[in-house]
Amino acid sequence: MIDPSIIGVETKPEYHEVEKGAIRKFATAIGDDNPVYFDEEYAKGKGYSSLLAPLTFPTTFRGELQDWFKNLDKNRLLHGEQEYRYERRFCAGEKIKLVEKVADVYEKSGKNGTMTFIVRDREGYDETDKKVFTERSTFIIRGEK
Amino acid sequence: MTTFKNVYEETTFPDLVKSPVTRVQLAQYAGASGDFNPIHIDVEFAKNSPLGGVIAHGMLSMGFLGQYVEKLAGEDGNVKLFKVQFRAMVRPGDTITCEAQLKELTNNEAIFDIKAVNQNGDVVVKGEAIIEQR
Repeated sequence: MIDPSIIGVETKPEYHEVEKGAIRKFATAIGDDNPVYFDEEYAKGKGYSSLLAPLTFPTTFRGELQDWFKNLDKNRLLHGEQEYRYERRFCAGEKIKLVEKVADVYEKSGKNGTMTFIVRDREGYDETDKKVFTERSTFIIRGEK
Repeated sequence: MTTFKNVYEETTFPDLVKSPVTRVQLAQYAGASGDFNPIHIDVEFAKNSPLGGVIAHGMLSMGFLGQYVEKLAGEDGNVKLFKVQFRAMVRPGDTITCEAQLKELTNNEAIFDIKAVNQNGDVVVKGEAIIEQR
């Protein structure tokens, strides 16, 4: 179903500008009223260059969907796990270079048939090309019953 | 002198009780995150799907936990790792509470087990956060 030769192949980088309005909207949707996401002066007082991007903010970086993802049967697709590893936090006004790859694909057999696990990594880099974060998502494709 | 370790030895962290999830919130989160999967926002579509109705974005519940983890980090800590497993569906009307338990503490690092539970006590999201001294 998934061609294992895609494992480890990095996509062409995409660039995402981190905007103040996007941070405010994201925090508002979560119901998170921490002023570090809303008040730039407050954020600067906390040592940040501008509004802080919330921990899960990289999920807003939507680029072109990869073919393997487009081809998944969305009715059998589950989001199993999500992980953020930060080298440092980032803020509004930064430009993040995002590189994506499938880190692993494996199967597990259970009472509901064979489930396929797809581990996708997205790495964010800053304008000096230093790594800022790694986002790891594990998707599960349920077996056909 | 209060050290990083003292802070986590001496502070108790109250649970974070979120307001009930609403459909409007799911629309807001869809817009803010860019995840427009119809299972979260299209009532008709969701009703006719195997799930039988709208479910919240797992990433919204992770967002709740992110708000909580940021509180755990406070002034002295920096969140290094934040990871979760999605365990159960959240639907509109559910009330999510975020909880944490200190698992490991060294001079410059605190590791928490974290979870989000619904109003019935079911764990919907569970995971771990590593906070290092800023």
